[in-house]
Amino acid sequence: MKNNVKITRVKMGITQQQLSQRIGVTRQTIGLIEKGEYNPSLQLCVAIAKELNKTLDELFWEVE
Amino acid sequence: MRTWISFLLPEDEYKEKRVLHFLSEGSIILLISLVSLFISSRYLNFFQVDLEFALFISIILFLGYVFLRYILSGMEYTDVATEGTYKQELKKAFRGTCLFVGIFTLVYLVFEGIPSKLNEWIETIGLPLTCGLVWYCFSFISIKKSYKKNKELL
Repeated sequence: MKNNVKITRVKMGITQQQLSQRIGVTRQTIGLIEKGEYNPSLQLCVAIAKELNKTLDELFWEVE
Repeated sequence: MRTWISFLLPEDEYKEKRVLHFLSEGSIILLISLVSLFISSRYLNFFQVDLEFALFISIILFLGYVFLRYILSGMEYTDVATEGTYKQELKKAFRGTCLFVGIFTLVYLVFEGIPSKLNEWIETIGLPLTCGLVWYCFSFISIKKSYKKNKELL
């Protein structure tokens, strides 16, 4: 599933490591989500959205 | 979702899911092998397997499959993504292996006694060295796979 996580994270100047530590997952998991190779649970989606100050729509809804 | 197996699973969501897949795959393979052994022992007179051997093979098959899938998945070392951390992790694995060989040899000497002949010394040191070599090989493969996977995700 494609998403806007990487773009948003980079705009905010946060590294994968920092984001992963804040939401309690590994850096590899963040990398896989950003690449669209792993579909996170709703719980994790919400945690990412909260950390990046975005809504679920803005991060995960129908990215081209 | 909490189950009684939760204490065996990693905290990370992705890792947890993958480990559950590996355990499920291993269980299906184990089931197939047990059904095959049951059919062969009951209906095929020319293919009889000793009970102890059958149990041993089944345990090795399950544990080996889950272990190899985990090692080859490249998710053991989730933070190894740069050349520096890769080399650092290899050094750490080498030090860990040396420690393991040292402790193994000491424990072996305590239980078996100090050897008096050269070939006994070779036997005493040979076993820990072989185990250490196998351990290091698995660590090396796991670190290399993790590094390759993490590098692509940066």
